[in-house]
Amino acid sequence: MITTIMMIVGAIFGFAIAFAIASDIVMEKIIKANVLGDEKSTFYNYSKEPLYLSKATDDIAWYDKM
Amino acid sequence: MKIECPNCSAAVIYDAASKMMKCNFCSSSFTVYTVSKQQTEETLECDIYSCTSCGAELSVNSVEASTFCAYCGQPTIVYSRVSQEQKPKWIIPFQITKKQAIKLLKDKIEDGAFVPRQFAKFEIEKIHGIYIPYWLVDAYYHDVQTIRGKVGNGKYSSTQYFDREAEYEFKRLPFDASCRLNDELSQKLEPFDMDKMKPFEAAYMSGYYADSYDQSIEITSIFAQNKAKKLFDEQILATVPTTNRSIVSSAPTFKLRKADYALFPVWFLTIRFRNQPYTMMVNGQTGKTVGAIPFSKVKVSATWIGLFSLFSILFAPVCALLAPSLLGFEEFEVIGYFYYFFFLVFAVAIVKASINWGKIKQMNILTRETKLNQFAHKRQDQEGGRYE
Repeated sequence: MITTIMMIVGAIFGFAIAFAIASDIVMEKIIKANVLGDEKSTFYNYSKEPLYLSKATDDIAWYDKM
Repeated sequence: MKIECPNCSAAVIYDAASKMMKCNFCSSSFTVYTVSKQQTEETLECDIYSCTSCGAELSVNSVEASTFCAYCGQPTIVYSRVSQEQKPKWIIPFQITKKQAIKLLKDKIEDGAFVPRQFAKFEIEKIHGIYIPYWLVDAYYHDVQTIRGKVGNGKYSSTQYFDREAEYEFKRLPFDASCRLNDELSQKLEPFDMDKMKPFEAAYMSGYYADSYDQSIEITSIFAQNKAKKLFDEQILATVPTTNRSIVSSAPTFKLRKADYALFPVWFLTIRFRNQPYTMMVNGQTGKTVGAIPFSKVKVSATWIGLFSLFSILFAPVCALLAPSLLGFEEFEVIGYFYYFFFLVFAVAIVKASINWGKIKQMNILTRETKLNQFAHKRQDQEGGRYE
């Protein structure tokens, strides 16, 4: 009896995985092909180099005393 | 303001393909600088048209009379007044022609998934090139930050603090200066290559519409500060070699150096499908296409049922057969890991599908202009039918 219940629960879980994967594949296909304008920019429009940046190495790290 | 042909005094328009001013009456071509009048004023005379449906205002700098609203696609646009608009400092002229814009959209629709047959054979109901107003902001940003990060794993992990100080001069941060154009859409249209900007000449506007700016520099300054902070924090956090990084203290200084007014080119294409206008946009400089292509529910359902059946055959029997083994304590660890893995797959797939569904829905709404119309209607109500 318990075995049967476990098998039914397992099968439902299997269907749930199938549902999620099928939905994910379909949505991914729509978003890639039908939603236009999400391409990442390949160039920057603005300068973003720092004029000055303090020393960016580990030696100025200090440890949490807590 | 009419740009006249030096030969026959008819109106000339800017031709994106040849990058010349063309006279449709005597077929002559001229450079932009030949037909441009010497203008030293800070303002520019334009004809303003208002849409009685959505409240949009467009300025037209040519002899062409406007017959429909490029934003909502309705033929409810009426001549409003002549206005002295602030003269932009920069302009990116149209480099994509009308034909190229249609071709780019056609290619995208052909590559689309589950596109309804009727929509695939689309015909453009309306197409117009519009110069969108932008503020290009130069700003200074300085900050002294303490960043907390985690080094190592498990028992051997420790929390470290890093001090960072930096200053940036941001140049030409672009901000859409039109309240009517949804910011999400205008950001998707970017980037524009600003190295190819030209000093403003009214001749470039001939044959196109131009939206007037209605977002003040003061409001833009707030957006600029937020964007500068975001860019600054990204760069600074990248210099900290730890995981779980977070800024624990910060003392930022932001200074707006200047804001230049510029016009950037966008093609607006309206397609009517099932009595609904779908407005797609094409960046008039780079050809980047923005919008949502509708999908056929029948085609999507058929594909989904096929995939669901396939994965059900794969997963349902495996999960059903393995499930009773979970009761046996000896096998639990091994089988349990299987189930953890399956659960992880389920969770990732369902979360991804939900996020993507949200994005698809949002983009569909924006493309059908519902949001824009709602915004405009609210505004009309507040203003007591100013455009009636």
